[in-house]
Amino acid sequence: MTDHEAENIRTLFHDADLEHVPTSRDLIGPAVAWGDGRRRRDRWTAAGVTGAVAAVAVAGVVALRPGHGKPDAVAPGVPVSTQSTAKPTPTLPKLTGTIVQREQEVLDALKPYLPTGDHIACQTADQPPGFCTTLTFTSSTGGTSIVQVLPGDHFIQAAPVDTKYIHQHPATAAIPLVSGTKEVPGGTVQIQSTDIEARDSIQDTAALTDPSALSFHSAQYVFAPPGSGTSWTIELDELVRELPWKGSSGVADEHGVFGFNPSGPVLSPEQFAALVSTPIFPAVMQQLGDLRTQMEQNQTQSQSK
Amino acid sequence: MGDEEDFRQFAASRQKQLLRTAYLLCGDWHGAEDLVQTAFGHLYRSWRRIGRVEHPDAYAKQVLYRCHLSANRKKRFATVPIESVPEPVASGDGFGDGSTSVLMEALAGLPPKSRAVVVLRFWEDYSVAQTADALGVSEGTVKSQTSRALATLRTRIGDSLSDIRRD
Repeated sequence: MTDHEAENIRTLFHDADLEHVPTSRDLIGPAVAWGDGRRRRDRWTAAGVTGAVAAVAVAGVVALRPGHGKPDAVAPGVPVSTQSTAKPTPTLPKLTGTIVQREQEVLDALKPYLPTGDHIACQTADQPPGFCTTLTFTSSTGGTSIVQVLPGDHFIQAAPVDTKYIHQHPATAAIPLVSGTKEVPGGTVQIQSTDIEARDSIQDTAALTDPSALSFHSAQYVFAPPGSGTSWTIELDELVRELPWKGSSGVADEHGVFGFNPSGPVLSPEQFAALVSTPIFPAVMQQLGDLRTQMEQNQTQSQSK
Repeated sequence: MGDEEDFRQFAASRQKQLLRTAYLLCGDWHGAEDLVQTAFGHLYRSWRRIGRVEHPDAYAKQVLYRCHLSANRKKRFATVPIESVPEPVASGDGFGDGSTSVLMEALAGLPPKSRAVVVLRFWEDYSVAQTADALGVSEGTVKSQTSRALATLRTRIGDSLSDIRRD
């Protein structure tokens, strides 16, 4: 290639008529929404709490078509009446042991208020003084979601903006959970429902093009008590269909890492609304926040040594 | 909130330029929008840090190029909706102008990394060192990729190439 040819290539570029740039959609809003989500995950990862959940976004996701779910799958709209009728005293136990153990004790306090048979358990724990890296929410029928219980952060700044990206679950979607807001006693629950296809994270902000290719679902429920200046969030992530590359991804137990429930999140927005209205829930969130702060302090101290 | 406002202003002011570059990399406007949106997402994720970068424009382009290469590396995992099949260059790009069609046809024959090198070197007027830095590869790789790419271009559009004259 001569200098003359190189110059001609340059001329070819500069002579190309690219003045008119067609745009068919807002690019910045969805990017901000995606970036916010990543920042949140970054913070959580930095706190040593997420691990596998962050990896989930790199994997990809699927969904079952309606009617193809496992018979024992947990529907996201399970009535609140399935909850236990037990009325334990709304006090937390005296916490002992490591942070991971104390975190589990705090979460166990929620068990009487969850749908009967459901429980949240630490699946894998970071080395001391860390948190639990993977929490699993298991339903009585065996469905699992990887769960994050997050105190004190407004994760969804503007639900209408967030619902514009990825997928908004029209009626044909496999997971009938709609992003938006839901009025509940004592406030409003913001819902962000996100589908991801079985493709890599770099594309996970792209519009969902094929509901039948949906592989993974992520739901966030945020409740901000009026006048509190804070919010409580539960995020549930799970595979809703087997990954196309199952068996060759090198992940020994994809269900264990990502959770698996063909019908979507094992906790419905209605169940979340019922949970946040229980008298013990604020204390649980306060304790989780305190443990998180303590864990961060421990990390800072260990890094400064 | 100021953080987000700053980013939105930056993104809005650079969007067209980045879309042009993305179009040259992807070959279709829908793909270009996906790429720019992805790059914006990564930029916003690190915006607080980028605010301290001396040349945010160069950084934004670097993110765009790396997103392009990363997306192509990962395409083996991708589902390919029919709508995403690149538009025919001659009739579907919205440009009646012949030089644009020749350019896009030429670029379409290059593998992603070579295409990125060519766009950086001849569209952005980056030096070999700047191109290597933007793509995170060695200068030797840039030189070899440029050489191969130009050889391909010579084969594909040799006649057009020799006919080009500056006005």
